[in-house]
Amino acid sequence: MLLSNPVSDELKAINLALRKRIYAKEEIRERLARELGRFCRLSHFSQQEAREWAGGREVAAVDGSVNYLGALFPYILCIFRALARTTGGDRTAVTEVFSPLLPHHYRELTDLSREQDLDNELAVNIVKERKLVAFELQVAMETVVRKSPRLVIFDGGFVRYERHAPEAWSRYRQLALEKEIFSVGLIEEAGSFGLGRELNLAHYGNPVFDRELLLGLMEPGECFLVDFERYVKKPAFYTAFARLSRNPQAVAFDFFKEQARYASGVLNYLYTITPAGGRGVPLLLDIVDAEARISDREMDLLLEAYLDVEVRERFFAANRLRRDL
Amino acid sequence: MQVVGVTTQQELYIASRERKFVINEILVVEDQGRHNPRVEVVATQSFNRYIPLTTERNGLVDEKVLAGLQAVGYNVQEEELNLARARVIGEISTPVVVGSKVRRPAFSEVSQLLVRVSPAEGLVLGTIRGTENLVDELPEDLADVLCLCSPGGSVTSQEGVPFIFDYRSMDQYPHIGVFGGSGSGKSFGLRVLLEELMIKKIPGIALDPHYEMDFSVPFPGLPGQHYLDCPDRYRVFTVGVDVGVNFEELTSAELVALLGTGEPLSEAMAGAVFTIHKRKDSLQSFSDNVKDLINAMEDPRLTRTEPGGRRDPLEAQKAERYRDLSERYGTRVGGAGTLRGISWRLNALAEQGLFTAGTAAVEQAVLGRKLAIIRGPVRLLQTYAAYLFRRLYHQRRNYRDAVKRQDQAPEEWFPPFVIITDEAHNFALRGDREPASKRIIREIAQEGRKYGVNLILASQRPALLDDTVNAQLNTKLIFRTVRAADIAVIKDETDLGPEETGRLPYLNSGNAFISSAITGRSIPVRIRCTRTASPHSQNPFDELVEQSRAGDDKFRRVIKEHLPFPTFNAELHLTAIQEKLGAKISFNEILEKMRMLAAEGLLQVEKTPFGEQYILKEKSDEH
Ligand SMILES: Nc1ncnc2c1ncn2[C@@H]1O[C@H](COP(=O)(O)OP(=O)(O)OP(=O)(O)O)[C@@H](O)[C@H]1O
Ligand SMILES: [Mg+2]
Repeated sequence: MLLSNPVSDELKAINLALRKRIYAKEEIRERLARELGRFCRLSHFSQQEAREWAGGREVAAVDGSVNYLGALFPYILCIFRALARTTGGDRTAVTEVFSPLLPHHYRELTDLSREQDLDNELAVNIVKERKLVAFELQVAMETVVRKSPRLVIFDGGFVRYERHAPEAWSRYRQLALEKEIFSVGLIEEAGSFGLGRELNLAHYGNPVFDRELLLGLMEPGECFLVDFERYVKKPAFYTAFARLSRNPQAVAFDFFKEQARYASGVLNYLYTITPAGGRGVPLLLDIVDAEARISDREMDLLLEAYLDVEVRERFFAANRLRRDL
Repeated sequence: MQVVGVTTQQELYIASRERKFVINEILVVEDQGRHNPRVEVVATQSFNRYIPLTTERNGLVDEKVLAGLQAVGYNVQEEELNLARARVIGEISTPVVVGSKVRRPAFSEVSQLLVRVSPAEGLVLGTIRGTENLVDELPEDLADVLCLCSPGGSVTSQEGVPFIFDYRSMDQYPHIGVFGGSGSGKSFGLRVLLEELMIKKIPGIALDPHYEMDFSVPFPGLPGQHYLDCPDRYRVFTVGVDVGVNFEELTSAELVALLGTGEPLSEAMAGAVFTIHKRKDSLQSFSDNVKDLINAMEDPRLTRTEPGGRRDPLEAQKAERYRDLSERYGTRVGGAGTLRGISWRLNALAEQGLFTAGTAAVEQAVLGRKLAIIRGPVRLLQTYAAYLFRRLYHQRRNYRDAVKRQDQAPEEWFPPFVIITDEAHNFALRGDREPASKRIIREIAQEGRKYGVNLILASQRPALLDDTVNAQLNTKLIFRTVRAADIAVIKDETDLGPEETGRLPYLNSGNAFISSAITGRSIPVRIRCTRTASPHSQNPFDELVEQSRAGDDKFRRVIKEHLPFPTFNAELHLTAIQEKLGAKISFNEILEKMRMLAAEGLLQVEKTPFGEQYILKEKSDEH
């Protein structure tokens, strides 16, 4: 197929512009090291080292998931599930259903949309995010109280918790700091953390995302530790970057500022429990992720078991079809 | 154990962290609403959570990852989850409640499902797989009723609930098929069936082309109380020796079939037989007719009476006969060549002794409730068996029909009996050909039930067996089967579900599914150890080694007497050695063997002024 000139020209132009955004790796490394922090090599813990680092405590991971049914307000149904589990096999889970079809949930939504002047669908999204975060913190909190692990790994950055559940988050933070429980938030899709901003990189006013910068920047087993006094995202957090496997995309890690000096130890441990050929995520988090998720099939089974055919057909079927499109 | 996932009125999933499921085990679901249904495990699965992750997304999980996790308390075992798919036995109308507890049953809770008749009333064929953990609870009459053995041949005690086949129900659901690929355990299973028939004194006729059906030797390693000592329960016959055809009773069609043993008769030959053969012909009369007709056709002068008349009345009589034969048949039997073919084949059969003895001895055995074992060369046996089956079947049928008609003078009693044959597709091959053997097998398959005549047909290739016959086999023992075509037939002809047919290619020798209209569901069975062994069930490779070792031993014994053995005038010894060995061994072969013995270090070569000579090695430890 021959494309008409304007289209192919523009595609070529885009290609050219994007090529210019690919920065020379050496240059970026050099500037990062000079201006923001330092690159270090991580090392695998031996079993003995890992034991010493953990000091007899376990490691926990926290993850949450939402499944939807329906798309048109108010014929929506969400099933939340949050899970914390420790390496010793201790599990804390919360599963909840949320739907504007239930009067008290409906009220919760309309209150929110009135208060913030939002339409209902947006309000649903916010409530959803809030609930998920709240459940995750709930299970994390219980685990911390009961098990006092060495480390809690969250699936996602700390900003989410702070934004959507500030009170619960601050309670968690306080307890974790008190009990010297390291906490790390792992961000696979490192969006923007201000590395680009700090280096004054911008393109025609477009901000440069950190993920662009970080791709292939580090060797496997390498990390970039920002100087402790700098912060790249939020004053309360300390963020580091590392490439834990052969996957070229680096992962970002949020720590409490107070625990910044433990970051390299935590990263060494995470590096140890990350499969070298995987996508760069510690195995424990993958395990919890798999347990927390409700698969489509499980979802279907649940719905088939508890919703009558007529109810499903009348209120959700058409919507579900739409969702699949 | 707990019911998880979605359930239907037929199927459910059961999960357990602690316990691995056993295929085919029966479990009880504690669901009061459905009266605690019994379920059978039809598929099992165990998985470790990190293994799917490895394959799906994570690449290989390195040692260090596990070490790092173990250091902080991670237990790999704990990640294992056992899952079973189970099928509800019997019928319930609503699905069981998800979350119901599941437990192992006590024997009394499943005895009805597993055991329908006592060992005294049925054929004890093996153990039901998946019932191993019930063995301690078995009542006395079901315990230690059989032994099992490993494919290697070592005997073990009964592990599980016995499978007892209710043979009396064969009057409703007749005939048994035994299917499976090479080495899957058919012959072994047939032996078990035969033993059971003998124990129950059910008369039968079994074909034995491989001369392996002999029950005089106990199975090696079998505890004494399990041995079946039954010399009076069976008799062995060999076609052409002590059993054969009563020529006078042959129909023309049977004669054609017999003559066609090996290679079917040409149309012309068959036509000629139909023309010449008359009911009640004796072997002599039939063969004279053929021979004289040949003579008459080859030399037409023989049929003429010389002008002026022959003096010799004998000659005249002969001429008369020739004329008569050629007038009656001459134009309808083709040429002399065709007839010579018939004559030649008839002689061949007669020389094999086929017409020297009749079937009386076999009938006597059957009347005496024995198992008659018929041996003979494969091809002859096949045609002969068709004849034999027909005769015996008709005797039984005539008797029953007479009883039914309430004849005044009923036929003599003839008992119901069972016909047993391996390679059954040779008798009733699917397709258009309709040999006598197929007609009789099909007739018995369709009507035998009425007369108490049952078939037990074994075959490697169910797909090659005639459809009608196949469909009449109400009980099927299905051993390991690999061919897709055969599995397809099994799917059509049994109630085996996809789980079972999926397992067919992987069954161990001696494991089978028994799918039967009598039991109502297919039951996985491990066929029991036979109580007797075939005198020559030796591994052919062991046999090879053993035979050649025996030969070597003999050679060594003989050669020892001739040491020192000079290679330069070995001829002196040659004849003597040959004689002692009882074999024509050449000089070079002897030297070859000597060299090998020397290489093994048993002999030693010594140089002499005349040449080399072999001597016994000093201090050799000959054994
Ligand atoms: N029930 C059993 N228990 C233990 N071993 C068995 C059993 N059945 C068969 N075997 C083993 O498998 C071998 C082969 O079995 P068998 O001779 O019955 O095979 P087959 O199906 O008749 O094969 P083919 O079609 O080639 O004749 C036996 O020699 C025996 O060692
Ligand atoms: Mg066999």
